[in-house]
Amino acid sequence: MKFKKNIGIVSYGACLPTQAIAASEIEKTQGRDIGSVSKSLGVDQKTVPGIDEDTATLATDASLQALERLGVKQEIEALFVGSESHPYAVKPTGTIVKEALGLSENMSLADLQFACKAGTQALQICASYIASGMAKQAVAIGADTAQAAPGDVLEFTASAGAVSFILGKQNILAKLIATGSVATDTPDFWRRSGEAYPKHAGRFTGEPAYFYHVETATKNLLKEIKLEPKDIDHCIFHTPNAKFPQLVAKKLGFTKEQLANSLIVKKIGNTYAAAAMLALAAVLDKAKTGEKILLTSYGSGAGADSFLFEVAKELEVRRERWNNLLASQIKKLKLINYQEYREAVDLLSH
Amino acid sequence: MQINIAGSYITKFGELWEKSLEDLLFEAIAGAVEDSNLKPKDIDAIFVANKAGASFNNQRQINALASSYFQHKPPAMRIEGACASGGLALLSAEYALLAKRYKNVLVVGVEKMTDVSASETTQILATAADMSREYGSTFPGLYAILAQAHMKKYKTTRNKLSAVAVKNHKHAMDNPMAQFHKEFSLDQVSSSILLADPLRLLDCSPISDGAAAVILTNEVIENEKCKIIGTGHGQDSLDLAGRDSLTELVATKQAAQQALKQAGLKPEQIQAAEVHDCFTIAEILAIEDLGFTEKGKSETAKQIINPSGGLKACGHPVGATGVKQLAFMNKYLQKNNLQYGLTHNVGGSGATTVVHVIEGVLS
Amino acid sequence: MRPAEYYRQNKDWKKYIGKVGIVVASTMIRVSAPEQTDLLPYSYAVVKVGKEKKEYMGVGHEKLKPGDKVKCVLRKVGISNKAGIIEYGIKVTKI
Repeated sequence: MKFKKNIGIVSYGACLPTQAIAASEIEKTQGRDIGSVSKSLGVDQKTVPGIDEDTATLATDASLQALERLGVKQEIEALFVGSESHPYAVKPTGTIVKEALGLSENMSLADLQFACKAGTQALQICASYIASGMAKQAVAIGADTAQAAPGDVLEFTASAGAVSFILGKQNILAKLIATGSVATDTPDFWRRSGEAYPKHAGRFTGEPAYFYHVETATKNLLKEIKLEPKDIDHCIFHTPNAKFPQLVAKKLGFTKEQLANSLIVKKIGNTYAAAAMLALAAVLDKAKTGEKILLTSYGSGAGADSFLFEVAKELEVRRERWNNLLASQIKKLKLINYQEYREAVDLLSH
Repeated sequence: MQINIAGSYITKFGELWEKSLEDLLFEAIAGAVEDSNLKPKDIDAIFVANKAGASFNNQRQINALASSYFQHKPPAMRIEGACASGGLALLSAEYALLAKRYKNVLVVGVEKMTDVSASETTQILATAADMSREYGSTFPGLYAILAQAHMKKYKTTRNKLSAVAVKNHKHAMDNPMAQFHKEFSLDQVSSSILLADPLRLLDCSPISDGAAAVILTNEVIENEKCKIIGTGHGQDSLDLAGRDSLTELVATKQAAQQALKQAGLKPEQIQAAEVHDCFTIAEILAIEDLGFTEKGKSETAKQIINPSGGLKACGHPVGATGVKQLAFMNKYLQKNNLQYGLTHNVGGSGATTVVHVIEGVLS
Repeated sequence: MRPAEYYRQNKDWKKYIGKVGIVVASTMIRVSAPEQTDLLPYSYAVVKVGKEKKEYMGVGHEKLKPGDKVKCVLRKVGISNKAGIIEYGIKVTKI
């Protein structure tokens, strides 16, 4: 779907926890050779939530940054939070965030769940609210404190983070040109109710799952807007690890340079519902006026959302005054040991 | 004003596994009655001090429990003001006497704390704080903040805090009812485990079981013993954030000024004092704010401070403490032939303070 | 925390979350009530926020000292049981 109206991102904020664990520390604990897993996944370290953090608090912190950066009057009338680690099974994360931010109670609000694409689905829903005139501004949040069973290969990547985009029509930082999605019933990764950790289908998570959906959604979008990979300045693909997005970028005909700014996964791990949108924040933190950004998320189960943005001049102007960009949050990450890591993630189930 | 102390009694303080709340309560009542020249039926009313019987022992209506000791079931009421419950119960009894409603009243303080876990105790004691404005605080945590502020302003040292504990443990060696009969060195106090920086385990008063009772009267008594010649009652904001200063307890200053004025005494005329040393820093604050010394110079106090061992070493069954201080001072002045004593009882982190000035009969 | 208590407290969040303050006095709590046991050790501080003084826990195990510039944020202030209300509240973090 191509947007005729002028809509887009009017502000955004990101929040990473302040601590991370090195892949080597997990390799040591799991009894693997140092570098054996991290090298193949391309992930050096991953973020770990603080003992008092969860999806709701991270989402609040990220949204607070977005609100502080908002250059126009706050008129938020919709809020959607995508996550696969909502703190409650029943009771919305969004209401907690809304209350903490002091947003109006006249609000369309819901939590979304679609594995790692729940955040971008929130983004798409918010875009439709703005385009239709149902909301003047809308907040799309991707946030997760991803769980992994001790010993599982997911332990190397499942991490925590949140990102919040405010969509609107005035003072646009990046214009939303088009978006489109695909969905099929593909059981590559799941977690049953009441289970603490997810299960995955090993190599099945690759070809028929991640690659098929990401490629299809991306190709569909490029076809609709009549652009080639070479016309795009930055491409972003969901980052379950650093390997998959590099492979899919290559298959689709994108260069390493086009992908480079989005690969924060190497230092933060897979933040699940926040991942693709955090990568978008990382790209926007550096992007120049007029640049085109293509983003395709992926959610297990399975589906993908594709978006094309064009950077407006407003971004470069306003960004000058911002602090705590993603790169500086990554720089500040403090490495912890395996025991501290388990202590923090075990508390999440409380 | 003059209210006579007709009798007093303090149970053994400590971890008294064999004794229930009722056992302690009745032992103190019986002891005080026996210590006086009165008969049980002479008791006109009872004021019971207890902080948290409902939480520690699942027992409410402790007033009726106390009254049930007596065949004639005198009217009884229970007063709560956290660790100042004892002081407040005394005040209530004194007001009833001054109003000439009763002639002889019994004030009994009791707390049975050791049946629950340390963590539950921490939680129960923390309810003396402002539960919404001070969420997550602990009792040691709040006094630790007062200690930090005092250390910053007056360069109060670790050793100065430790010296309070060392002295009070030494005093307790002479008090057979004290919870601890064990001396500590400065180093032992300074290297005990941290509970809330800078306060360490040996900076804190213990968790104790115990009870104390006094019988107050406005009747003239034979062989006149000690009498209460001044009382004071100070209040401050319940939460620390609501106070103007973190380096003094204003409620202590108010209570001390009232009590001393009523007694017609100056702070320096007080010879011995039982002060509320729930933490070592609390004794330092008490000495200064009672006017015994200038701020930051508590070590120069001339008064004998906490001869019982204080809350620190004699023990701190929270609801009993205020009554115990008066009961102890009653005997201490008589035994040592001293004229003026003072007791100082504090609730929580200093929101409530009660001060009594006592005059002994010199032999 | 009881539901109604939480419901009253969260009305206060918007007044302070995002606000910056200065630590007046602080301690590191190492023994706590059962709700906070899993969060030990944690800072507890008197903080000046605008003209008001407030008392807050510090985030995580972060150490605070007088004069530190802090920001009010949303965090879990207690962790008591898996079935009850999640205990969110205001904490402060160094900036």
